[in-house]
Amino acid sequence: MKQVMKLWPRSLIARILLLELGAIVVVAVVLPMLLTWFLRTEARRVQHRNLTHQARAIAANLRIAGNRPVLHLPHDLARIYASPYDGRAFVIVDGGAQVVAASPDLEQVPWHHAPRGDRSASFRAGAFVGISLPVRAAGQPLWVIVTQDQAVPGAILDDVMHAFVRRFDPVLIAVLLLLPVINSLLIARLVFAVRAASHRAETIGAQTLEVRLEERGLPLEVVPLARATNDLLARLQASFRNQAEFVANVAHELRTPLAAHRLELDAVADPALRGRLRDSADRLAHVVAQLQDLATLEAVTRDRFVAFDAGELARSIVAEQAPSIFAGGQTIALDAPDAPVMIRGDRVLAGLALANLISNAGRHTPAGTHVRVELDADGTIAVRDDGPGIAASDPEQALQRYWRADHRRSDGAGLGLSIVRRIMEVHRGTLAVASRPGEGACFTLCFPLAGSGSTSRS
Amino acid sequence: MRLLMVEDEPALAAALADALRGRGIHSDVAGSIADARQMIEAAQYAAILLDLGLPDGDGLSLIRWLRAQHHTVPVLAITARSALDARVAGLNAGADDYLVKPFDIEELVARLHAVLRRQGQLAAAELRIGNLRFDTVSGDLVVGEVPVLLTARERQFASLLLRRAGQVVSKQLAEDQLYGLTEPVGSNALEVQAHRLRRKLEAAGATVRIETIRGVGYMIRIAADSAAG
Repeated sequence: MKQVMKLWPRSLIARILLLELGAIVVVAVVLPMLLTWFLRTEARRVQHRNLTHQARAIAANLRIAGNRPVLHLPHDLARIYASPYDGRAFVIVDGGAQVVAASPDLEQVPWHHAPRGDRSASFRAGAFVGISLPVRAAGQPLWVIVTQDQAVPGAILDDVMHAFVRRFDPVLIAVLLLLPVINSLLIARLVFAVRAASHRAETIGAQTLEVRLEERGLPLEVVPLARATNDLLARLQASFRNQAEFVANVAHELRTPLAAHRLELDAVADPALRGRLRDSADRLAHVVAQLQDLATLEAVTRDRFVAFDAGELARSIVAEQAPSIFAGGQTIALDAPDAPVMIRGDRVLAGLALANLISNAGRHTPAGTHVRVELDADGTIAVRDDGPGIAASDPEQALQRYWRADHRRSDGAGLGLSIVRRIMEVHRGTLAVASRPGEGACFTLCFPLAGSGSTSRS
Repeated sequence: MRLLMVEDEPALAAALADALRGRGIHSDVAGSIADARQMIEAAQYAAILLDLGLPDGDGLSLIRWLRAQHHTVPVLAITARSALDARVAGLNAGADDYLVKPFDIEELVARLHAVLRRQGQLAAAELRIGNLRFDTVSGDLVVGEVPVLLTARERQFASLLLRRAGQVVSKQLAEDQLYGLTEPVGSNALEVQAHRLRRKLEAAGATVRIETIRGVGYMIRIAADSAAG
């Protein structure tokens, strides 16, 4: 059973082809046989009718002459039985099997086998078929027996029949073979449409939940599946939005008590305790802010993208971040080409990504570290520090390490990297990290240049 | 100085009022937009501290109402939205300035003063940072009790930096202010000015430092070693 199941193909086209070809083989064998049988039966019936007709015609010519039955065949009827060709012969016998009248060459015809009942009956003897028709003439029962040699005219009929079937069969099979071809074409179209929908479905990710499967062009039978998938996507998208909204609301609700807390801790007399409380309040505020940023990012779309100067952006973000970097005892500088570097994206988000990297560099390095922001004409912005760095063999691993280190710190800097990653995803850009112990770390953002052809795709 | 605080959260309102009182700023508290309207019509306030999330509506509607009444009282908005969200939503459109919760009381007071100054309500002639005092009218700079002699350009530069103490002054802005648009500027002219000013402040024993942010600009701030403790 299992082996049979193995032979049974999973492809719909293969299944249909297999079944249809099987059906064609059966039809090709059975149909000629059936046809032959039908034709034979029909021929036999026609023959029987013919013979009956002839027997009646002969019987109609029986006369009574001197109390004896006499046959007077008209000329045209007699001519049919004049020659023994194709075994046509007749005989009229009485109850004592005495011949009353007969056609010539009667001795060649096995008429003795004919039954003599009180109903018309057909019979068969060797190559001959015949009919025995009971009649009454001059008060005595007579039988008109008409025979025909089936071998001679029947052979012609059989030949015709066989030739017909032989020629009909290939035509029939050719017509039947058209069916699987047409079916395959139809199914190929269906499969093509379904595959196109599948490709579209493959592009759907957590960030592209707005994509929907195209229902138009799909066969009616597949539309429910596409519609169900689209409904599922809509529900997923709504639930993602709800989640983002929930996070934003929670963060929002946390801010007011946090603000009160932040103000009241100023009244703490012990400066060391006050400092610690302020640090923890600041960390909380940082996490809340980043949670809200992540939630806000969920609602960002690419249709707001514009071309802007990355140099101008870098200058304003470094200026914005410089006070906190200097407050941490570190220094910062920017190297950018004089000419504008036009990139394409959302100015606020790109700024947030850069600000997060600079702020991360400030948080992860000791006082005295120098942070260098480098803008290249190819649209990459690197944030490099000469801090202790981190040991990792490949950049992705380094990113993971930073990630985990961030999560251990639990001050939300890990969220900062998530935000940067998400922003770069939205921009179809990249985030890379390189780090070696003792040589600091370098985070690189790569934005698409404006006019580089990577305009938004629908 | 008396200001109106529109805040529906009693704990935050009380903490904020206390903190402000400690800095010589008295405040009345309104818990809703309706209360705030009545109080604005009844009394004269130097500024309004407005929480944007209020029980009877969006705080921005109060700003629209004020402007429709041709009230010029400066409004400092306080929002519980994220800074990114606020910027994306263009929140700062209505208010004179805005702060994101939670905030530092010093930051709030500084923003309040800045808003009042912009309105011409606070004619602060003297700027103070660390042990340094600068008279914006005469251009006199005093470190501790020691006057520091400055050239005209150095005075302009110091004024520019001190007005934005703790913030970065862009190179572009400094060049425009010091040299005007017609005068040709050498690539390191500004750095030379910064270097001279820095030397003079150090010599006078100032607790502030002029930081160079290469490629971006300059910033004057209280030096880390003197700020500690």
